[in-house]
This record gives sequence, structure tokens and C-alpha cells, in this order.
Amino acid sequence: MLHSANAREPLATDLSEHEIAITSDFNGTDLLLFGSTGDPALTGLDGPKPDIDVVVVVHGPEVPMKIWRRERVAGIWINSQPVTFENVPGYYAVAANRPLADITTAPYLRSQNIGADNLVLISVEDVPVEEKAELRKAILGNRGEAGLYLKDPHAVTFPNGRLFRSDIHFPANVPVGDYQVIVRLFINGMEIDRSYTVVTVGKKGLEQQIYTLAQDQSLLYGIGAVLLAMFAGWLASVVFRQS
Amino acid sequence: MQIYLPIAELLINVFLILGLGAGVGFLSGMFGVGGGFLMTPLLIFSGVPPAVAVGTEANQIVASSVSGVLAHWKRGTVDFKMGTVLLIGGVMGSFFGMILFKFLRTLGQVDLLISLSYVVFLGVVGSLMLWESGRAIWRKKQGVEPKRGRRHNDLAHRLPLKMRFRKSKLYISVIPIVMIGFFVGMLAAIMGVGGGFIMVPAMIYVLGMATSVVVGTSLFQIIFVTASVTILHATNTQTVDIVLALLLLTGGVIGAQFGARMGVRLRGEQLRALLALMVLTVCVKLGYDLVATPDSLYTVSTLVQH
Repeated sequence: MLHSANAREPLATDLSEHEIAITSDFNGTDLLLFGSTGDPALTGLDGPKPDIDVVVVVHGPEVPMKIWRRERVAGIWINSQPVTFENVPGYYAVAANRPLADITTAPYLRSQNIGADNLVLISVEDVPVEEKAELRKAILGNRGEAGLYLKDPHAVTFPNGRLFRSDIHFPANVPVGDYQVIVRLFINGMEIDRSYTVVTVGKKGLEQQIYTLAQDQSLLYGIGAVLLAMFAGWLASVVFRQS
Repeated sequence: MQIYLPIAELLINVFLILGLGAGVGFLSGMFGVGGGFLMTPLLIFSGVPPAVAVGTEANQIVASSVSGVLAHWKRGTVDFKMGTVLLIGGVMGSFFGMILFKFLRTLGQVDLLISLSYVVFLGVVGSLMLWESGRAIWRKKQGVEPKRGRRHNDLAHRLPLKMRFRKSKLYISVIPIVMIGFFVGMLAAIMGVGGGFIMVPAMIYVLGMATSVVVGTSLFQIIFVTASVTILHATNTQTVDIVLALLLLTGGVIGAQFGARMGVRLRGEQLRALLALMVLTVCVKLGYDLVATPDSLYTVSTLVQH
């Protein structure tokens, strides 16, 4: 019997915080994502218990990146032939309740760009196909080493029937900006519903003020830095004054 | 305890930075150099982006140089007249160096420039100093009287625009002085150094200054050149991290005071030999990094845009 999706309760999700403030002692943080899948009994499917899966993707702000090929010139390694990628996510995390390959098909994951390997990375310059694969690998490797591309196929858990939860980890070096959180509900391998929410990461307080001052009032900032240094030097010589 | 640096945009260990600042500050007070030639590479080795290391280190050197100069001033070992002429050349040189720095930044080759500059200058100066001090130590062992007085560089003494520098015991053209200042200022802007490791030998061997005022005068010039470099980097590339600079200079000024006291007790040629060895060690490490096969064939960097 066919069933209209409208009769199902919609997927509902929320986050423990929608803002992450980077202050002087920021050492990374974990956010809690939680939600409800809606009553699966309403899907009207007869037969064995349906597979209910939740996939969470967090897409960080885009960070332009430049890649140089290293070449040896006169014995020294130098950077040459830069290639620019404008739309690389500065942070990318995928979480699910079981491995993605068990949830749905690879073509579907590819079409939805789910998973770091399925991200679309476009270079500004024209680059031969073989080179493109190498550059992709370099970008993914770089982001992975920085701890900013995360994958946890068992992060999502269902503590109570319809309720699910997942921890999302933001390491200390996360970029500033808006993060898109997309939660997808799969039933028997088909995406049935989707929910969007946003997390904003920003520098707060003194750090933000210092940063803004350095950018907008750079001359004042520079002179201030010099005067501060001179004062500190004088102070030290006074403090250490001995006969 | 960790702290987040707003401009460098990374998390560092507070005690590591304080210790680094104190250690390098101690050396700076002892040898009468800014210490930047050690600090900037050490910062880069610690993960600070090179452009931020250069600008921030210049800021720190201002503080340690002021502290050192005040100590020398009390003893009357600063030639302010000579220092002023030097700093005129130095500030001009820093502007020129900044232009070069910015140009190479757009090409993405600024890291290479910094490394190459370090390897070349540290290598040349370190080797010369090691040879000279080694010879002086050997001579002392042999009981040969070390050459007293200044070497007279004839070329420098035949140029026009001469001025009398009483404290340095010189009557010399200002042209070589301004040129030395200019060259050192240029290096300061590019490498994040005070330039003392070039200026001190140049003052002794090229200008023939009285050795007693060399260190104090060099520190005096360094204050103004590094102040200029700090402001230039802050306004051109926004790479001066004031939090990092404060941490460094806290350790640095304290270390410099102790270093200056220690420096008086050691013999000149021993000091120079030690300094030469340190300079060469940093040079070799940087040179190795330039020629050693890197882990990856690609350099990946994020273009900072806010």
C-alpha cells in the first residue's frame, strides 16, 4: 500500500549550541546533535522491521587553498606551478550509525557529495586529469592531518526508539565562519527526509578585538605594538636595576 | 597551559614560548645581538607561519633591544651620533625590504626567500666569525699578543662627507655607515632579525669603530629598525601577532638582562666563537630543510581571507 510521506512526522533535529566562541583558551569542543526520526510505523511498510539510518554531514566554511608542486631546482626544493581551489571546505565531518556503504548505494552517496572522497573540488586553473587526482589526494591529506576532516561511522546512536544523538567534534584549529549541518534520514536505503541547521564559529572577546584592530586599524595597531614593546623593555631594565 | 594566538591563528604552549623567549633573550643580552636570527627560525620550526614569525619577532626585538640599550647607556657605551646615522640607513632599508617581501609573497615564494637569506647570511657570517675568533683564541694560547686597535679600511676613509664620531673614535665618511644601515634594515624586514650579527662585525672590521661602543650602538640602531619593520609588517601584511610578541618579550627582556651581565664576564673571543657556532647550527638546519626530499611532493596552504 502506498503511503503519503506527509502523514509521517518530519525529521526533527537540534544542536546543543549554535555558536562556538574561540577565546584565548579554546582547545576544541564537542557539540551534541540530537533529534527524532518520526514514527517509522507510519511509513506503512509491511514485513520485516525497516532499516532506519541517520547520516550527519557538517560542512564547514569554504577556505580557498593553493597547492604548489615541489620541484628540485639547483638542488633546492622550491614551490612552482600553483593551482588554486576556491571551494574547499575548511572542515568536513560525516557521522552515521553504521558504515555508509551499508546504508545506501555508492552512486547515491556520490550524487549527494556525501563523504570526503565525494566532495567536488574545482580548480581555478585548468589541470590535466591525472594531476587532478594527485591534487585531490594532497588536499584531503592536508585537511586530514590538520584534524579537520572527520569521519565516524558509529557516532550516531539511538538511545531510545525514535530519538538519536551524535557528538560532533570541533578541534582547536577550526576555521571561523558558518557551518552547515545536514541530517538525513534513510529508511531501507532510501533518503526519506532531511533537516538543516547552522553552527557559527567566531572569535570572541579580546581575541576578536585584537584581530579586528590588526586588520582595520593596522597603523595604530603597529605603533601600539612598538610602544608596548618599548615600554616593556624600559620596565625590565628598571625592575632589574641594581647597583 | 595553552593560549590561542589571534593573528597566527594557532594554539601554543605558554611555557614553551616564555622559555624560548628567555633563552634567546639571554643570548641577545650576552652577545649584543637582537636574537632574531635564532628566534625567527625557532618560531617557524614551532609551526608559526613564516610571515607571522618575521613580523612578530621584529616586535619582540624592539623590547629586548630597549632593555639592552638602557643597560649600556648607564655604562656610557652607546655612540648616539653613529647610531642615528645608522638608523637613517636602516629605516630606508626596511622600506625597501618590505617592498621586496610583499612582491615575493604574491609569487608564493616568500618562505623560500626567508630560508635562503638565512642560509646565506648565517653561513657567511658564522664561518667568518668562527675563523676569526678561532684564530684569536689560538693566538692567545700561543701567547701572541692579539692585534690591538682597529683595522683601517682605506676605502672607507677616503670617501667624502666625513663626520667626527667621538665615542667611536672615528673620523669617517657617513656613506659606508648609511650603506651598512640600509643593508641591515633590508634584512630585518625580510628575515625578522635585528641584524646585529652583520652589523657588529661590519662596525669592527669595515668602519673600524672602538669595540667598547659597538654592542651598545648596534642595539640602539636595532630598536628603530625593528620598530619600523614591525609597523611595516602590521600595515602591509597584518602579520604581527601582539599576543605572541608579548609572551616572547616577557621572557626575552628578563633573559636579556641576565645575558648582559654574563657577557661582561666572558672573554671576547670566546663569546664570538660561541655565537659563531650557534649561527652555523641554525644555518645548517635550514640548509638541510631546503635540500632534503620533502615528505610530500605538494605544498598545500590555505589562503587566509576573512
